[in-house]
Amino acid sequence: MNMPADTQTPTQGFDMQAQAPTFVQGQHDQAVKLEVKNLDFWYQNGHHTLKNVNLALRDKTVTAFIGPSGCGKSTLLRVFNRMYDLYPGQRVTGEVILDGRNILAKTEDLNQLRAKVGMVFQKPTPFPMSIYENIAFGIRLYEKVSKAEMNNRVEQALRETALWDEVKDKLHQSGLGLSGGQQQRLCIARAVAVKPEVLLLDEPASALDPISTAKVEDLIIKLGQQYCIAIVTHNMQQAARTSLYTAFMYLGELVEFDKTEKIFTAPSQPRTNDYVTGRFG
Amino acid sequence: MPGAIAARRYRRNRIAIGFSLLAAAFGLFFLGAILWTLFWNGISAINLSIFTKMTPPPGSSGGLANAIFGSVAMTFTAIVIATPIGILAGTYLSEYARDSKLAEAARFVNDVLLSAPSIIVSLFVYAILVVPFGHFSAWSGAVALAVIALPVINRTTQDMLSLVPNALREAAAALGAPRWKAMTAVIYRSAYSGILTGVLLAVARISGETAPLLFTALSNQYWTSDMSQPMANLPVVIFQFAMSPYDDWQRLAWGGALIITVAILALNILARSLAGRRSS
Repeated sequence: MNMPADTQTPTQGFDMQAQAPTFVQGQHDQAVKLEVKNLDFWYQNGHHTLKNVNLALRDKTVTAFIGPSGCGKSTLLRVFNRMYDLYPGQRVTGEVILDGRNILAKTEDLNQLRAKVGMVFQKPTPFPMSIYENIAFGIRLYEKVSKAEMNNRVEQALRETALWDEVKDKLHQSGLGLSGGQQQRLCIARAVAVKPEVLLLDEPASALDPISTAKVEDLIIKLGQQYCIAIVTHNMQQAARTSLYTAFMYLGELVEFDKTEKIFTAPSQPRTNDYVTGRFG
Repeated sequence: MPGAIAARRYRRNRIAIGFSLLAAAFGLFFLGAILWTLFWNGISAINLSIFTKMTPPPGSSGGLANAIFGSVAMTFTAIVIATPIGILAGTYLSEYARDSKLAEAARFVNDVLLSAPSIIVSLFVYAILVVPFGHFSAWSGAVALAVIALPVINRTTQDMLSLVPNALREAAAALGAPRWKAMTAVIYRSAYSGILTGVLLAVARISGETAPLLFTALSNQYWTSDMSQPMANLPVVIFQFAMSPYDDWQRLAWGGALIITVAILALNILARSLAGRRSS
């Protein structure tokens, strides 16, 4: 490894609440689920937000994206489900291969893609309908299921997100009446209910209090055993706690992409080191 | 902070508050005076027969039943015409054509129409409906009222849809919901009470309009429920009766004015309570 001479020992600055960091341990590497090749992205004002990004997300694995604001990590996430298509003028080149298919192709069916690649946003976005309907809405988009089956699916999604016990007695009350943390878990439940294969989490806990954050993090770790998860976060402890792989981005470039443990304890790039030790960003 | 500066600021604050109170009281005084005059003169005309009897010839007793029915019928028809068009147009302008030049022009024209003098609308409908058919009719009155209500509903729909956070549109899209599904199941539901408020305000607006009916529905001394005939309506009857030299007609005009005012007040309160429930 070519470590530049001015790199300091990174572990000095990175303090996991004075405990030895417990990183997610990958048993063995899963198969590649989603591969990004030579990806470039421009906003309508011409801003070149992603510059030649290459990386691979593995199945049943959590991959974290860290970096200072404006580095392009959220933009990258929004390429994976082609959210940018909502806004004319945003332009992308390169390839994103999901299960062997380039999802950036013009012929890609966006609604089917988004059924496969779910997304949860920074601000909880429950729909203005009941808790039950919030989850049933997504399922009904793709499947015709009986009433009993729907009840099962809703319960299953709520159990998966550890929300069931909190809401089982008020399923038919408005989802807007829940607390922020519950709303966010409802949004995750809604995304999980349509049985996606990839889950994109764009700063899912940054608007939540510490207790709700802990619940959402537990959930991410649990869901990470079933889904290919990409999470954008500003909280480095969160990245360290939840992910097996971490990508550090800076000014639209992917600076370093490696096992999370390595990124936080022995990064190969000085910029990564500076960021994870809190020296900038 | 030195005491002198604080005292000066305090004094200036008191003066500013004083003037604001005075201005508010000035405005409220006239509102109060209008309502007081209306109640004072109108309440004596309000009895059962005003709702059950037809408009009378001078010198005999009667009521406003045909005019009340005519107003309700034409307002209702106008809202039935204007609501779907207004909501669909507002949806297009706000959701589907945000950045297009055509939409920008349409929005501008709509805002001009919003403040167009209602007598012009009346003349327009007179030219396109009354002249070709050869007589005044309640249909043409309803169309004139619809033309007044349309830009109000269109504009409120745009405003209310623009208040729906973009995150909600993205969330629906992220689930793979097609655009129309996201609109009908999520976005409208979110803007529902605001749009309904806009429709109610449009009802309040048109139910008191006189000018659009002058050249269209005109009026009718008798009861009719035939929309192709001239039809009595409260604003025009008030206009005619109030201008007349007969005491009993003038009394009925006061009564009609009071009925319209109370009805519009009730609609406004309903609209406000709906809007309030949305924000809470």
